[in-house]
Amino acid sequence: MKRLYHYPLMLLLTVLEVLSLIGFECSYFAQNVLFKPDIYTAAISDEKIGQVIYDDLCEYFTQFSMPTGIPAEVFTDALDVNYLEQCAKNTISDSLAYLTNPNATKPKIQYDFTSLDNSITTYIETYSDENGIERDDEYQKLLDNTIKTSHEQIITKLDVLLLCQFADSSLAPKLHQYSGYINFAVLCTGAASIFFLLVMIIADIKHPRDLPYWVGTILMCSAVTILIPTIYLKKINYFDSFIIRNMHIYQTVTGLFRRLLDNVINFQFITLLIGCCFIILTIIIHLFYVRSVRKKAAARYDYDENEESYN
Amino acid sequence: MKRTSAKHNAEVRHQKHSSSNKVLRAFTFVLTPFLILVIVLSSLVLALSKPYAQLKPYTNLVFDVSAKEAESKSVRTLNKYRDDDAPLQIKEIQDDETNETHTMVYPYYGDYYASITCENAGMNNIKVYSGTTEDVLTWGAGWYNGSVYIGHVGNVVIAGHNHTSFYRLPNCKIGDIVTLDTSYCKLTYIVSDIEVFHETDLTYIRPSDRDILTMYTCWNNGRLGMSEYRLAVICDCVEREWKEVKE
Repeated sequence: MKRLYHYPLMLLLTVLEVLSLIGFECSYFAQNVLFKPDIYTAAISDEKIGQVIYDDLCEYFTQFSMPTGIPAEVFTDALDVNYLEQCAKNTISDSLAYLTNPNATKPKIQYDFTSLDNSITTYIETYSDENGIERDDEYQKLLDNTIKTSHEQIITKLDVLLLCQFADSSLAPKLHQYSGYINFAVLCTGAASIFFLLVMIIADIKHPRDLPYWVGTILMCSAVTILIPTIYLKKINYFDSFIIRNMHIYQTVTGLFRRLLDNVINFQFITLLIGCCFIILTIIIHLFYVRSVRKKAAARYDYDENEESYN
Repeated sequence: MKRTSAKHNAEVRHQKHSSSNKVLRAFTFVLTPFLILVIVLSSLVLALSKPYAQLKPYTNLVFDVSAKEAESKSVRTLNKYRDDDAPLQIKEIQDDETNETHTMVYPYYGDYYASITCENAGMNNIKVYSGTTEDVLTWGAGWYNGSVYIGHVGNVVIAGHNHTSFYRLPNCKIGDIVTLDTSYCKLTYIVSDIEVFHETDLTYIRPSDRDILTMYTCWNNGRLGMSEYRLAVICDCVEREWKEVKE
């Protein structure tokens, strides 16, 4: 095994490189995964959140039929699982767009209530006609209130990650601020990573055989540093203890975090393996190098000995 | 001289590759990543310990890891159904007026608590459960757990849906007899007042010094739809009969 040159300097640079790389990974992850709707919509599809919302609404409308006297089917027949899922996804996309960019339009849950309104109105009208109930102010008020309450329920259920509520709360300006910081952090940590790597290359330029070792160490250390907490969180099922037990919210949030953890763990495992490969590569390079150096030294020694004997 | 130094150099090189040096290098090679990992982890722990401490109360609000443990330890928590192994909550109470001691059974959330009868209105043995959330009200009427326990002096509030358990509540008339029967006492009331109030008006469900029962339901005047109004039937207690509780 060959010695590692400029050991203390390279050690220090490696530590700095690992720290800046972890910072870059985290900020890049926040910028390109957490603040983008893809992972959320994928989690919604995986967890079949459209069906969960539909089931929740069915349960609600079954209970709602008790004070209103309107059968639950009048409400539930007007609902569509795929449409509910699509609306939930759109709500997340719009909310994220606003939370990361204050210039974007404020999110609003878009849902076409036409079929639901028609269903409720038709049923109440038919019932009133059959029972001779006058269509007066009281009738209209009851109808309006029923429609309003059912709209509110659907709207509440579609905001599965409560992002629409966040967009309306005082958290929104803070998130606008943080999203700006994250862009800055990505730039800074990315630049720092490149800088330290360049310094390492320059510092060890006369010993390029050692570079794969340091690169491998950087990748391994950064991967393990992130793997330790993520594997721990996965093992104790930390995110399953999410406090909101409303099925549609709970399942979306826990499904999302599970997916995020799995993605992070997979990615870091690959990084760890690449790091190991680099270190193995260094061992191979060193073995070959040592062998070639020995051969050269032995050849020179033999040559010197021969020359001496001739003389 | 020159040749001797070349030989000497080769020997020195050979010595450098001696076994002790090799072991030291191998150790350095293997241990360096661990050393860096320890340094990085220590730096991160030091750097993040303060922000973590600040963030922890908030994460504890969102992710309650100790919730399961707390739930099983708690004897009575609000809006939480009874655990399978939860003991009956029996307590001896003393009547301030008569100084007699009675036994009361305090319900867990969602427990079957009592039954209401008002024969004149056609309400017979309407089941009353503890709690007034939507799921409880699908089973029957619900005792509002912000009001006094049945048997205590004060305003006992019971809610029910107008198209199910309290369908016949509008048939109650002033002077009708209403009985409320639990496992530990039977109370007899007389309807004294009937009111229609807006859903935001909390007058009738507030605690009261009067020994009354308030039953309320949505009021849509025999029509369909979600009403903003509620119908309250208020009854005065005329008799309180205590029972012997069997455990």
